[in-house]
Amino acid sequence: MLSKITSFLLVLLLTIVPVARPASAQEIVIGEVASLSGRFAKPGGSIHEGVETAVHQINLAGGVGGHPVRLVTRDDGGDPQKAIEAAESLCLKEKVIALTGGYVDSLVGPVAEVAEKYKVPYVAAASLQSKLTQLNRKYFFRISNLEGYVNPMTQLIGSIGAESVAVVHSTTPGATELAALLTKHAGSGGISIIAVETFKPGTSDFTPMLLKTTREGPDILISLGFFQDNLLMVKQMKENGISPGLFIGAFGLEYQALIDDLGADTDYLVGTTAWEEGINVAGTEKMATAYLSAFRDKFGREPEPLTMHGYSSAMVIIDALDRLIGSGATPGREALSGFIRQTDLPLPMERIKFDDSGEPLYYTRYIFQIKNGRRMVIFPPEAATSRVEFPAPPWDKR
Amino acid sequence: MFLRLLFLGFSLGTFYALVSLGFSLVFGVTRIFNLAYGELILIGAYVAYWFVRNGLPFVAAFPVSIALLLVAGWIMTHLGFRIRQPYVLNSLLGTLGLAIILQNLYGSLFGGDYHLLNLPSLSGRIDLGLFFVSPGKFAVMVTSLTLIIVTHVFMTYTDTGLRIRATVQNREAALLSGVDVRRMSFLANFLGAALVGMAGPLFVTVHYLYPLAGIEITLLAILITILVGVGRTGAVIIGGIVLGIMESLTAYYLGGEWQEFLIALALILMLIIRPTGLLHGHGEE
Repeated sequence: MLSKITSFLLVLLLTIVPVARPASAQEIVIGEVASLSGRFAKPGGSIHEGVETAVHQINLAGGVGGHPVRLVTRDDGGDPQKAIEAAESLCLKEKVIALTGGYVDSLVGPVAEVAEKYKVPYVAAASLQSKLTQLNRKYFFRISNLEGYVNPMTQLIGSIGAESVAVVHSTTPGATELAALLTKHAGSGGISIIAVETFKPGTSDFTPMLLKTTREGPDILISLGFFQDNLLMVKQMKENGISPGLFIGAFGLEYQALIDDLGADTDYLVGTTAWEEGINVAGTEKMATAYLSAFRDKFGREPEPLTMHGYSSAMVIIDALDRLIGSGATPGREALSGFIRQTDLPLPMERIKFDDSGEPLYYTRYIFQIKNGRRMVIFPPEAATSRVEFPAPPWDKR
Repeated sequence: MFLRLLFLGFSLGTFYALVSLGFSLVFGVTRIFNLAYGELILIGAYVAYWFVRNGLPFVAAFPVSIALLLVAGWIMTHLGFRIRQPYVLNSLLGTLGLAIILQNLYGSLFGGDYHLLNLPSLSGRIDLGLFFVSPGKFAVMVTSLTLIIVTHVFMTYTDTGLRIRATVQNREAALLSGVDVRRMSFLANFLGAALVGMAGPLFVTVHYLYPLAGIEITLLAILITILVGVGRTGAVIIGGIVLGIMESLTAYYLGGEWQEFLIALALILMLIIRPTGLLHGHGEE
């Protein structure tokens, strides 16, 4: 009986006691807070794959200054409280040298607070809310900003001769501020703003809101909702015969899944993207090829456009680490933050350089229109592969 | 426009009623507060999505969905009989665990992506004179109404239906009157499972699908059940339509940001003024 109990306890011990990971003394640990489940799992997953690709690529090349890089990812589930817990766990338990990841400001904001508290540099992969950089945090950086959306969108609207715009937006902080900026810029450009409506994430019937915002027949309907909101909105617009001259979705229309699910109904939709294969910052073509090769090697398929955001944010940290180690200094959070601040890195998506508040000096979205199931760049003119079709034909004429 | 909004709310409400009907029925009989209810509806939704994506006919998803749900209903009924005191708390914890398992299962099998079925046969528009409606929404509305009416007739005019209702109203009294409450629990679970099996494939034609979509369905079912009163299957249609119309009118006249506030306010007022439900005292008792 005793031997049975002893055996049982031994098995139990072997089962529950975690086997110590053989830690390499030279290993550099980067932390990522990602939305891998919950409402933002789709964009969160795309960004995470980009971060993983950067780490995979750098480790294949022998690491940073000879040090292998280990990525530790924590899922925030789309919940700010979980994001805080994840960031604290990464900073205190995993003792990461830097943080990255993030998609919406309701999650990026809390992680930035934690990063500042523990003096860990945080390069957010996607963030818009201006408040986050106005706080002049020492350890917060991001690679996207509001102007990157507002400028190309208002320039496109002005260039096609549209006279009126209606805006519908999600109640998330970034989307709300983007709506305010867009209407301000469009209004000052002489474009009439005929409606601005908000909706809660998870809305199941957009029809009343769409009927209200389009009753005066705006030339353009701008949606600042996410992928899933646009999916439902487009379907409900068709069902109700709602045909604005142009439907522009700032977020989430770049996903191939939209075309897969809605088919030809996605034709004439206009979306924005930070990167597409073949559209690179001049001189970064080889880097883009290396990125695609590393992604395909790791995942065996093509990346989503948003994946480049995750890749770029991780590459900023890796580049700064490389310079830090090359300088002979001991890798540490404080020193790394200083090196990130000095970043001037051309990447396929954008040249990355920060101002004193951590805001990127360069960030712009390309604008595409879906034609025959393919995304064709229509703005800026120097990158355009097709001309914008405006106004789009009404649903019953397609 | 007002008429159009009423119709939109009505159409949305019939769908809400369909997805809530199974919950109301099973909760009424078994008192199992099924927090995995929405996740069970997603079984049929994912089956339909998988069928269509793999070139199989959409309608074929219905029998498969119903069959899977009947099996799930049978298992849950058996497990339900094994729940010990405190019954309500244990059933809450058990179904919450099931919900989490199913959410993770969907995530593993289908990823975290959002999906929507845009079937050519259900897209387009039907001209109703004053406004349009899509064949998809029309089909959902007609199917929902038919299922609700059939369920209501079964519960009101058949001997078995009356026994189930007796069990809903007073389990102990029903037992003393010779009603086999265990059998009634099985039947209610089977009927609920069949309704859930029908609702699943319809769900993915009107709403996007993702692993956590079930949480919203469960909350909706709880909301409507509280609104109309526990076990009042016929009244579920009224609750669904009231909610659907409230949503449509609020979104149009006040703005989307007011929807949740007004619905929450209505629910709180309901619980204060008529805690037994909106239609308490109007038949079906």
